[in-house]
Amino acid sequence: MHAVVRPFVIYFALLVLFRITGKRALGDLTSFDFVVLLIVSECVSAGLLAGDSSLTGALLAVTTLLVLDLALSLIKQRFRGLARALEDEPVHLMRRGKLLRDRMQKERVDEEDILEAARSHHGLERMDQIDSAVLERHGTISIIPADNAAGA
Amino acid sequence: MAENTVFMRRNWQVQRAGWLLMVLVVLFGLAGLFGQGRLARREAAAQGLTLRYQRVVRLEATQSLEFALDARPSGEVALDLDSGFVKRTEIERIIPEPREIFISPEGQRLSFPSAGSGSVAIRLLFVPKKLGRLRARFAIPGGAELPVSILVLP
Repeated sequence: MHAVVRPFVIYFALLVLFRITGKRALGDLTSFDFVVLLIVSECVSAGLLAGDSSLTGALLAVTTLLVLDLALSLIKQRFRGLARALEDEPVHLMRRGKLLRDRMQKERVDEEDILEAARSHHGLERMDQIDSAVLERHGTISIIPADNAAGA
Repeated sequence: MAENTVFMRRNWQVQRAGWLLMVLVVLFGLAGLFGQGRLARREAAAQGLTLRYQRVVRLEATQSLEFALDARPSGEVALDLDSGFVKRTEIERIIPEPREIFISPEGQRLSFPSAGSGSVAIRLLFVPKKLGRLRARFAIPGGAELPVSILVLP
């Protein structure tokens, strides 16, 4: 297959696979998630270059990937519907101090993940100090502290 | 925060020009400017010998040459590879395998058994080992000669 077509196919295959896997795939990486990512890149590199170890082949593959990424970002900017389909939307996991367990289960997030985000970004230690928690499009959890959290 | 709007605007302009350049690289790449495509494909023919090859190839990447030779009533066809080609490449495989290979200071002569009339196809897989212009000459002994020039990219 052609040196431009291979990156094209791999880019869209990975886009679909990671989109299906969900936000948690890339948001809070555990050390093992990181290892999985490294293995993914290792598996992909063979298919990406298909024995072409030339500098031209490598640069052409990289340029193709970057152009695809750039084109997709421009298209997403123009078509919000597509952006939503490709990147998902932020999801409330906790609202006004109340955990939304159904959503947490669907997104594979538990209380400990919310507390971890609260600790690392706001220095909060307890659930009652959190007003809202939102799972962002890129898999990170944003915390909005409760009013009583300031004095905690 | 102090903003340098002149720099900002120039930066955006340069970025957009770069995007255009990247798109052109991909499009020309797809067309075969850097090998493997319509722009790079060439066909050369002389009496009884036809060769299809890529005019632009890449260093250390396997390439192929497709020869079509007129079969001979003698039951054997032969193809000469000149020393320029032999020295600057590594021949990976010849399909079908030649019955005999004669080596000489001028290069190599491959001979193949053949039967009947019409043309026989020979495929030669090679890996370019040196950068730059690869000038090669392929010939039928005592007959047609095809000089080709192939650009080897890094």
